[in-house]
Amino acid sequence: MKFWQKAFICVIVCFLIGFDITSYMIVRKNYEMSKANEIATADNEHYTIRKSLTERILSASQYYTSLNPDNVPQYIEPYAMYYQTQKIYIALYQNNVPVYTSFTGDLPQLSDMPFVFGEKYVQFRNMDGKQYLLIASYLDNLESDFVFVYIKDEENLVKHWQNSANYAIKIGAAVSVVLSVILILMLLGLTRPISILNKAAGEIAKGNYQKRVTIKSRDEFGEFSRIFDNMADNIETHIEKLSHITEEKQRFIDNLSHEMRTPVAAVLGYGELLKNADIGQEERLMAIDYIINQSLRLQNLSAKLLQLSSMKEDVIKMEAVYIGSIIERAQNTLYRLIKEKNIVFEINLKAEMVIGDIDLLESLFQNFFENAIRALSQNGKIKICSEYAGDDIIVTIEDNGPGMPQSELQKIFEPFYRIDKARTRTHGGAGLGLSICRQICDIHNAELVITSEPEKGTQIQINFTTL
Amino acid sequence: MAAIMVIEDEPAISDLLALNLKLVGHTAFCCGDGSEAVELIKNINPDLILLDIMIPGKDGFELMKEINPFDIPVIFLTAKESIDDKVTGLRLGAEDYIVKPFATIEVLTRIDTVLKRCKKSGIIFRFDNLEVRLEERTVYLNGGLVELTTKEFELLEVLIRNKNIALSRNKLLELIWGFDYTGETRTVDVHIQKLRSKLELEDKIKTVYKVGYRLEVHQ
Repeated sequence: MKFWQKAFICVIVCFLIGFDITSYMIVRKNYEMSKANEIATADNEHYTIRKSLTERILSASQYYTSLNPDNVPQYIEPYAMYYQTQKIYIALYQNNVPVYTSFTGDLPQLSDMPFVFGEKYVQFRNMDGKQYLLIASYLDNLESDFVFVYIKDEENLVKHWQNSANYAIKIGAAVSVVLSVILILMLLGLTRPISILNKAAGEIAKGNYQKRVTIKSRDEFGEFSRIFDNMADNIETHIEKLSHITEEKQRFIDNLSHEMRTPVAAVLGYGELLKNADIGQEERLMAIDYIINQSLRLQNLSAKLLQLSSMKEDVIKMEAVYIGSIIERAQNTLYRLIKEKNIVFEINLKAEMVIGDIDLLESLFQNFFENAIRALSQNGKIKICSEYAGDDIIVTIEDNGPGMPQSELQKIFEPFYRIDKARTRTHGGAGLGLSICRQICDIHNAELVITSEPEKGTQIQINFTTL
Repeated sequence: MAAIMVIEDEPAISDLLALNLKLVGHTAFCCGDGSEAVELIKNINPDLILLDIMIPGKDGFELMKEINPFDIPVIFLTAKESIDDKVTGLRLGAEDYIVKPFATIEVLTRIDTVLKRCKKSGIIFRFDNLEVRLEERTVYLNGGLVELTTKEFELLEVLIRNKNIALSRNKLLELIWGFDYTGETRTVDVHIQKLRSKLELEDKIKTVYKVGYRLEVHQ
């Protein structure tokens, strides 16, 4: 059941209970008052009739020494006749025996009406399925024991009570209908934000992460919608980030499979060729060269991949390291290459130490040097500077090689990307160098910025932030 | 037999393909750059193109669109193995799609199939005193017709199409008698003996120790 339906039922039930209790009380009070009124009138009439009846009997008894019981009805009859039209009946008992009655139904027994001389008995009583008001009392000043009973038909009072009750019920029903319509409209209006939020949440659940609600009200719904929109923003950015990562991963896997399949295909093909084909000595040598070459390439690739993945898990030792000694170690590893091209290093270190892992930093510098040396021609120059920038240390590696255009610069961090495919591959380069560099910089909280200008050279800036 | 262009940026792979193609009698041309390929195709007008997808200059799919107007059959030969790439390649009009790493015999067989389908395969094969008309399925020795059974002819055709490459008995069984053939490799030996004696090929169809048979023809 929807919220507005629940609220509707609650309000309607409360209203009906309240309305019914109130109207019952009012009708009841009204009835009580009418009854009291009725009793007062009846009492009056009862008194008048009794009074004149008593006088009549008294005056009659002056003529006779004793009251002739046979004459009594004739004293009373005129009253009975007169009041019958008003649905008032009278009865007279002498010595507990009824001597006269204008009432057509069964008369009540006197013994049912306990009262003593000088008092009145007043009661509403149901007789033969009808409501009557009974008033009984002894006639005064008479030697004989006369009881006068006044009976009034109160059907009207009952009918009035029933009419009032029916009227109250009808009013209740009519008001309920009107109230229902107003209430439903109001509840639908009030709960509209809920259905908007509901729909939006459903859309987001289905994958439409751009969906927003923007409910401009100052109540809880407005607040909730703002929080909801914030949440949706966060989810959207997260999802985007995730899908970006997934895409990057997929590209990495695609490239990796290409990088692995090609040498495998070559090794396999040349192996088959050597086994099955009838070829000359020269071709045989070429095949063997390719097999060795491509196997080396695979070996290099697996080593680099291993380095990349192990960096993610290793606990890295952070310590103060001399930049000079890092450079020296990297130079030693690349000794042959440097000598071959007669590369000149120009080193100017204003900041001497950085915090980091010496092995990783060596690998970082070695990668940068290797790239620079490969790009440089004979007698090329590599310039290394370090300086403080606030709390940070900036290390710059600059070469005067051929540089690269802007379009290449954007792609160089992509795994397996090589600027000059044919050339790097003959060295067995896996195209993972800069990926490894970026990883190392990330571990050291260092920013890596590479700028380059064709014909002028490439500049690498490593910003070691002191975080 | 056919001029085949290999568009592949890895010299290891393109050399390998070129070597194998030459061995079986095709002429091979290599190209390692997508942007130069179209010009070369125009000059050479090859019978078939082996095309890699990840190549510098222009990628294989793009190149495929430019090759289409020349009406030259293309076989993709690539490391991209996803169904999407295969479908893209075939949709673009390629005749076949081979994923690296590949077996040489598979590539050669597929090339033959495509050439046959496109009616570009050589139909007459001659060497020394022998002439094999592949279309008519007839063989002439010293000008006279030689009767061969169906299987013998098929065996001869496979040997010719893969000449200078050794084929194992199992491979031959698979290619000629089909995968579900339950016979033994002896069957191959018997048929080879018959071919040798009928066509005077004793010294041309060589038994390669521990491998199988090879038809050696040096042009």
